[in-house]
Amino acid sequence: MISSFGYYSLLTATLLSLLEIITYIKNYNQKNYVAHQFIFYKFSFYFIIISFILLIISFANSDFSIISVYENSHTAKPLFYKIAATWGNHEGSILLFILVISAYGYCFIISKRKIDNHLKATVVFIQNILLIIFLFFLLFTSNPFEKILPIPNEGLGLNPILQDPLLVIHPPFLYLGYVGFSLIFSLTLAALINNQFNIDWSKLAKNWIFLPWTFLTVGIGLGSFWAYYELGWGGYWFWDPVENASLMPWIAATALIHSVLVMEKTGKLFSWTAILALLTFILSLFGTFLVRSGVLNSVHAFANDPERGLYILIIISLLAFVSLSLFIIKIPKQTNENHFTFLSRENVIVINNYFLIFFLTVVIIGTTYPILLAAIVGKSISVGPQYYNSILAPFVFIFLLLMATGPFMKWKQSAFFYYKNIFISFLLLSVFIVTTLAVLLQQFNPLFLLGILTSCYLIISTFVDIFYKKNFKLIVTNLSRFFSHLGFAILILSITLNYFFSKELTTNIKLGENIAFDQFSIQFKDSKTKNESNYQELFGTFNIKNENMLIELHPSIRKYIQPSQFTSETSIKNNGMSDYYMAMDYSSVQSEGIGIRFYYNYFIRGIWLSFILITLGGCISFYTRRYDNKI
Amino acid sequence: MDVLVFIQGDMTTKSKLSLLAIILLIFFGAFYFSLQTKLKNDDLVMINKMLPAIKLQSLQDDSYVELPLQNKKNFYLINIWASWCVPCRQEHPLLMRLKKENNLAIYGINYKDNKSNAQKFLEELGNPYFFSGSDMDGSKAIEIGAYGVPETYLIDREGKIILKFIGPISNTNYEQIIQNIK
Repeated sequence: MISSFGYYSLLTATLLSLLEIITYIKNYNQKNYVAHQFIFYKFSFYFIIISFILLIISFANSDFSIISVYENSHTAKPLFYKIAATWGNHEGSILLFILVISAYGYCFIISKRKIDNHLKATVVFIQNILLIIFLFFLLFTSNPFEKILPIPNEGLGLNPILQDPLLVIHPPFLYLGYVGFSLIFSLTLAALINNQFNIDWSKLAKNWIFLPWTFLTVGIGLGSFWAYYELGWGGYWFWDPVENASLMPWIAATALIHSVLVMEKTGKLFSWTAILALLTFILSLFGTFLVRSGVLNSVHAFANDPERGLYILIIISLLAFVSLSLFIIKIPKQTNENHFTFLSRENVIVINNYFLIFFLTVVIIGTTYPILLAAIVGKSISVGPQYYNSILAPFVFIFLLLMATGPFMKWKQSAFFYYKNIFISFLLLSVFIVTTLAVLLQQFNPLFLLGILTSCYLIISTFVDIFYKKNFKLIVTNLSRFFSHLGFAILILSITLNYFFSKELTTNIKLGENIAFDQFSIQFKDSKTKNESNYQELFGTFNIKNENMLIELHPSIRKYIQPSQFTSETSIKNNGMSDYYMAMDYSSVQSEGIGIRFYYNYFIRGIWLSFILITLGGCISFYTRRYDNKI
Repeated sequence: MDVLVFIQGDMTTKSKLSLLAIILLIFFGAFYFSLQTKLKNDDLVMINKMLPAIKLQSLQDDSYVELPLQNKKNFYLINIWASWCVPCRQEHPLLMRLKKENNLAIYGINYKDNKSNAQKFLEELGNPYFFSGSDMDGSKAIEIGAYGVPETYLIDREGKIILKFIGPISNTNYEQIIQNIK
């Protein structure tokens, strides 16, 4: 019953979107867009919401007449996770994907900002085309309301590793992020088609980049946080292809944010900005393709289907061809675009844009090379952290120095806001900090020294930059940069510290046994079992001694009933910014003892702090831009 | 602005478009090819073929079995696994259920493993196997056309391969197996 309603409201949404397109084409010559107020588009959006809500209801009620519910849910699941299962599977997640495309278009329509009617209509037209492409994809290959007969009594369950509150909100944020780039894609194409790709466009576009970028930052942060707390591997980033899939559009969007700024302030970088805007969304789709098609083997257990992969591949190729062709044909020719003053702010931003593109290339190669190699040569290799760390680290350090320099330079001229000696004082102060740290921590690795030096340099310069502003208004307008740049500096600082001072130990331990390692000693004190509604849990109690400090950790293993599967619950306690982290391994307590993994994660909380700061930067920018516009 | 020279340089629009088309065709071709390879892997090259004859040495003692089984009355499963393989742990509970709830005989092939680790794995997690065969050099797995661990094959009474799963078996695969042995 509900499933039919859900399906028909999806069909209705598709029809309404088609009607909207016909209306646009009919009105194109009359330029009479205001009259109908995108009424079809709006109703199409409402119907998509309805079908999404109906799908959630089906999951909440465990309606096993629907295949996707049957395959991904179970009556014994807590309600919260039943609902989360809605987007925890392929069909539901594509519906969410569509909802986000539609919602961004809707927000664009109702946004109060004055936009040229012709441009607005074209943007909605293109967003609508994207919407229809994915609606067709959903209806023909992944109908979430597909029925099953006979109706099963019980569902097949949801992967217990995905039963985590963080993971419930992580995918929606990721989607709000990278699917959100669809709007900037539409904005760029529309402006190119209408010959309205100009400075006014860049002012309009900025908000629509910051919004999804902020969501994506939150999504990546939550994913990393989840992997750290739930997967039990002790790390926060694994360079896993699925993680890279969300990182690629993030890097492109970060470059785009800066290039749009240059375009707005100096009227340069038109084609570069357009390319980045198109590329960001194409990379988002490419990420979806990698994750959903099954071309890669990843720790993320997604339902894969190569047939669907082919559809997504065709969609990407066509969208890339059409959009980039339009770019080539329509991009306004600017003769003096390429002339930059050497020591101007825009030039530093452009150089940093090159760095970002380099990082992006490294990630793309690292992610796709193993896939292509496996397809062509038939040889499986895996590209690990070693590759990324060694290639990226040195360049990230230079990147940080440029990030610190740019804000002190003036737009369009070779001039600094303050006297040049200010940089030397930053440098001296950073060298002082690095020397102190190196002596205190007894670490003299050149990479360590460089990492700390450059991140401290950036931290000092961001503080000076903000506090030396002449008036309050200038502080407010620069606050977003302050937070996101500071966050990035702290991120690199924390990664460097974490990389050099973290310790880990994997071993077997018997009840009562004491194991000494480095400056730690680990004692297995106690173990007990507890029964919960859908799992049985084994707790261990461990005493960790670090010099004079005593810490008690309680990791556990859960044995789920449906599907019967083990997950390990980590136990984490912090000491300042560092974490003591322990997980037990899949095994029952026997004479052999139990497997444990102990990690001392140095300064890991700095990484979470940096995510918060970068996100804050994004949120503030959204606010200050609006404030900017009102003036 | 070297990059922009390419985008905005002296090339004619037509040649830029053709260049774009060529680049995208290569992109499409490469990934199409990788999808196809994946399909080939997933796809069921061995399906409906007779299981190649292999002699499996026991993991525990000197006994052995010869596959495909002769005069077998029931379907049986072949599962390639290793103690070092993480997905094997993931599918393990399902194998246990196949054994306990469905009385399915599972022939394990322990792939490139160390004997004591393998034994420990089975002691800790339970032994779903009717017979545990050993394949230290990985040659048995190659003979039956495996790509890696874990892989699972359902064999019918005549010794024909009915189902083949690459990677850990999922709940859906579990249902498929049950459907087939009914």
